[in-house]
Amino acid sequence: MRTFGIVWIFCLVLSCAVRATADALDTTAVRALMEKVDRNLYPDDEIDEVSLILIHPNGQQRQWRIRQYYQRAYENGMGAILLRFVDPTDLHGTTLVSVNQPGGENNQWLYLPAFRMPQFLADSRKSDYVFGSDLTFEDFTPCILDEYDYAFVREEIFAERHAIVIRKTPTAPKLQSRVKYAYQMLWVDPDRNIFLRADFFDSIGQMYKTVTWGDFYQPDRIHWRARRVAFFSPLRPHWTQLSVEDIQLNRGLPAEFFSERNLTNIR
Amino acid sequence: MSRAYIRFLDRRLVWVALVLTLITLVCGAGVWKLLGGDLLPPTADSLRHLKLRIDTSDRQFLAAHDPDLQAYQESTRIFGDDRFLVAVLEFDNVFTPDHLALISRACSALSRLPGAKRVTSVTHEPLYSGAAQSLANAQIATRLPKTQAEADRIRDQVLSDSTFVRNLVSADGRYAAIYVRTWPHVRGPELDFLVRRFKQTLQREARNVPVLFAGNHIQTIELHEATLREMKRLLPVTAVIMAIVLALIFHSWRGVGLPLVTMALSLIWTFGVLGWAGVSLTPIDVILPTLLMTLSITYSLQFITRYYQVMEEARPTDKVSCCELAAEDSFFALFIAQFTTIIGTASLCWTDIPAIFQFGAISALGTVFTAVLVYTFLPAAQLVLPMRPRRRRPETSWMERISRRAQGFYLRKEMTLSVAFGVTAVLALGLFALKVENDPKTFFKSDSPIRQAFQTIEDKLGGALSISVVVDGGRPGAMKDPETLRAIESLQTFAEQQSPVLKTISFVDTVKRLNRAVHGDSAAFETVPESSDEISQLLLLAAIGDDPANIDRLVDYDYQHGRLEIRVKNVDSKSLLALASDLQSHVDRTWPRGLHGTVTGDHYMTCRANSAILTGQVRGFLGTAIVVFLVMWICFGSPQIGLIAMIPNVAPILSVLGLMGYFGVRIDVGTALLASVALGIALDDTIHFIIHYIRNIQSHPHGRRAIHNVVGGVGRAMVFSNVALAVGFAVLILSTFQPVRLFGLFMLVSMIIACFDDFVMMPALIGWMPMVGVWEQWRIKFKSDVTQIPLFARMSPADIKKVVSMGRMLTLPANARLMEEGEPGAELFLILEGSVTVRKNKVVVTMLGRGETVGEMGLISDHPRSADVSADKETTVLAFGYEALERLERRYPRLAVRLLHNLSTILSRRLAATTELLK
Repeated sequence: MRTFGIVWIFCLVLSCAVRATADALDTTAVRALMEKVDRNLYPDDEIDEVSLILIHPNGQQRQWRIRQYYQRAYENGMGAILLRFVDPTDLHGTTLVSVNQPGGENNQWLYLPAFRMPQFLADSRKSDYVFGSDLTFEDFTPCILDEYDYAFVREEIFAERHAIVIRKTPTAPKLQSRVKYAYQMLWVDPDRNIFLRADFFDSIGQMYKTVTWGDFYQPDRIHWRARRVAFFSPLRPHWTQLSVEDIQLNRGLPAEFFSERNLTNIR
Repeated sequence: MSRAYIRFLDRRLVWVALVLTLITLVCGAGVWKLLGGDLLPPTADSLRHLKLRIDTSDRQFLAAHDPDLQAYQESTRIFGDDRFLVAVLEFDNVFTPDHLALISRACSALSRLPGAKRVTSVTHEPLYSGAAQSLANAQIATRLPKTQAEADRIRDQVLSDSTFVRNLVSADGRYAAIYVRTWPHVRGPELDFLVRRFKQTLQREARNVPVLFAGNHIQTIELHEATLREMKRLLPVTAVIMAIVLALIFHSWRGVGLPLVTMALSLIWTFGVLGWAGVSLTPIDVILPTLLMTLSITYSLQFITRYYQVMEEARPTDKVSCCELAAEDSFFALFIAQFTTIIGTASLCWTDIPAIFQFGAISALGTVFTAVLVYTFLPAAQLVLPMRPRRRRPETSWMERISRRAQGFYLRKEMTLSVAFGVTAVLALGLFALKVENDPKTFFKSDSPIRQAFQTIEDKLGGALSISVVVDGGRPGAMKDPETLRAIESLQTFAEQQSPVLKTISFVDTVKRLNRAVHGDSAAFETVPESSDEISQLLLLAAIGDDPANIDRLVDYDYQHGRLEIRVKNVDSKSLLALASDLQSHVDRTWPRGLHGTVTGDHYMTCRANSAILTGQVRGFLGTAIVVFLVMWICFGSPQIGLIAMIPNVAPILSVLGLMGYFGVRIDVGTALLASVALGIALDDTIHFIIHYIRNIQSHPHGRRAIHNVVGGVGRAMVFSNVALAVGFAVLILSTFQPVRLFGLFMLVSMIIACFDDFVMMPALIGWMPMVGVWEQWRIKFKSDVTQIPLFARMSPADIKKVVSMGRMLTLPANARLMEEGEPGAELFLILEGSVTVRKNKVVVTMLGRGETVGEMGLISDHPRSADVSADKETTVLAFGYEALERLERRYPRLAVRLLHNLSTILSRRLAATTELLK
């Protein structure tokens, strides 16, 4: 009986402690954590080479090798990406540049080498899928933290790491029609300031995409990066597996690099 | 044995009642499960949702190894499901902000339905356009117009795009189509549910806008729902009408109640087992209630009628004796009829088509259950209920009239058979006009919503049905080869020239459309690009946007396979299969080496399935007929008699099919089932007739008298069951749904013709060929001394059987007269069991026993009988007449010579003995 009493008191104290931690994370700690994650994941610029495997529900696969360039525009929190096919050969040189605009839109230009002329993609949106993979352009876009609401959900162990689960909900009116998700559930590693997992939910609460990151390392001894990323869209259903190599951070890419004029020159 | 069984039943009545109740309760729970109920106490809501679900998936109707099925499964594996549901919305003008918003809203709602994979409409399909250095590929839904001017611009753009016009929107901009593609696993009840939600959602979203629904599965489900609805509405009425007819016949509660309870129990037992086994019913199984109703009524009336007849004629003192007599009289014939039906229906299981196998298995199971009930419930109920004769006067007078007529047909066999065969032949000639085809749309009235929907979608839009040609390039990347694209393009051109084809859709269209868009929307570039790099990059471009899987249903990830979707009119199966054959020939003839095309697709498989059902039913019926013939052969010990016994069974079916030909009614999935049901009824009557005839002929040497007794006895039950079923099923003629109406009509015709064949053709056939069954030969109890019989001297047992088969058996009660002095005679009698006394002028001349013959003079010459011969005790004799001798001479001349030689020997010995006496 006495043992039972001790255990009961211990549980009570533990739950109060957890609750107190949760209360603290509810407010400033979550925001601070997300700022750290933002700084880690979105440097000034980044170059890497990605091997993508797109897996169709029938088991067939498409394999691409893409060199991707990213730049963050600190003045407005937005950025630009440039994706250039290295492989397969019939797509070699195909390049897409997407430049995020302060108003929330993104301007996209596509260069198809077989047609030798860059094309402006007039109807492009952030929620568009990238070449039929499970990645959307919003996955490349850093977010302005003030435009979202972050709420602590729980703490748990995920992939053998201590993770804080945060619910991210877009609040800025301009985002309502531009992002596909109604909210995300993020598993954040507070020690490395990285995401371990992200689940995307639509307006009726269906999870339409889940992303998991793994095999982390520090290419510049400062920022943490994942070598492997896996996307799964259960409603399609479709899988995309990424292997990221040759990561170069803060190499001082000029803004002109992401212009349509550069599309025909880039090698 | 029957008597002992009835006595056993009488001692175990409580146990029988308990077991029957328990089985019924368990099976009742199974029926509840089959209807979709769970095992919790029923609520008003759960009762409302009870519904018999039919699995309409095509794979039920084709063998697992069928190459077409395998090709379709492979196509589904690669490209996903090609099935779709279609709705057509009718507006004054589709292109207004409100109407486009409505379509977009409806599509969004539909895309959330469980089972819906992809929704396509004018607002939910990428609209490609290009200008100088600019490319647009968005769906209208992402940028809905806010003003009429914007909507008008969209109208111009859409109506100039061949992908949209006469596919998603009509050329006049008044009709818009919404296509919902499904996931491959959505089949059977899930598809049923999706279709219901699809309709509800659209009707809710469309509000006052007229909506029509079409598509393969909507049509199939409408068809089965209409059939089930009509069956549900009319079968209870059928049961009530049958009850009224039974009441008129029997004038007693038990005469009405017992057949109906037997019928209800056999339905509960059969469907209960299906419920517990988790079996999904297929469209063919819809006929099962009718089949089981028919069998239950027929079988139970045989027993009940015999029970009443026994009570009227034999006047037994107690109900056990009455039951014993009725059982003795009817059980053996019932058993043979049921055994034949079980073997016949079970023979359907000898197929690799799952639906036909299931139908055969369930029918056989249902027949077994009906048989069990006839042997347990019916006699048990009669043993429990007080013995009460019918209040109605026996139908002696009109049965007597029928019997006399039947005797007439027996005697005038040549003329009767000529007329019967003539009538059958004339009716059967209609077979040449009979069309075997399946066109489900004709089941609906021309002004029905579904026919209107198909008509509208075919006139204004791209059709609600599709077949596919799956292209295999033989290597990954082959679909990027311009030569491949041009081959597909040529097939599209060929297909569009065929009359049933409305539109074709392939990834080549997308590539051409994008080629045009990247060239500033110049129509001159709406062609297949020259290089594979261009094609590859255009295909990549097609995957950019909100709908990345846009062309996954048309080209695979390896670019080895492509799919051409061919939208077709709602033509009959035969025309569609002919189109498929033409397409396949074109592919085989014109495509370059290494490029293969296979015709498949949802509607193609439906037509193949319909054709397989039809073939399966016809084959199943033929198989059943063959099995029935074999059973008859075994039972009667002679293939000729087996064949003759089949004639009254096959004749009604030939007549009905012929009549269908004359009236332009096609053999389709619905009407093909008639043959099996008609065979079941006719078979039962024939077996009862033959068995009772054989029994009678043993005690009444003259076939004419036996015919009279059979018709007057068992004929009554045959008339009762035929009348009850005919009047009951005639109710189906009142149905508003054509297949049910036709079924009712031709069931009625089948009953009338079966009656005709039973009472007209059967007596004449028996007159033409007297029947001696193998069990009679067993009854003779051939012993080892059989070869010692002088008439059969130096004959093998097989030869003796042949001779016996040519004659006929007579069993005379004690003191019955076999011959009368002075009367004409044409038969020789061989005493097989018992003994007879020969008297001349009432003086005993001699006594003859087993193996001895009498009446030889009648056989050899037309001499009148020279003495009286009567049986001392119950005596079995083989009557062998001049006709039999002629037949024996024709078929076995050496045997006839042997028989005549033996007969000469007997006569010479007898002459020698007489000479000795005279000395």
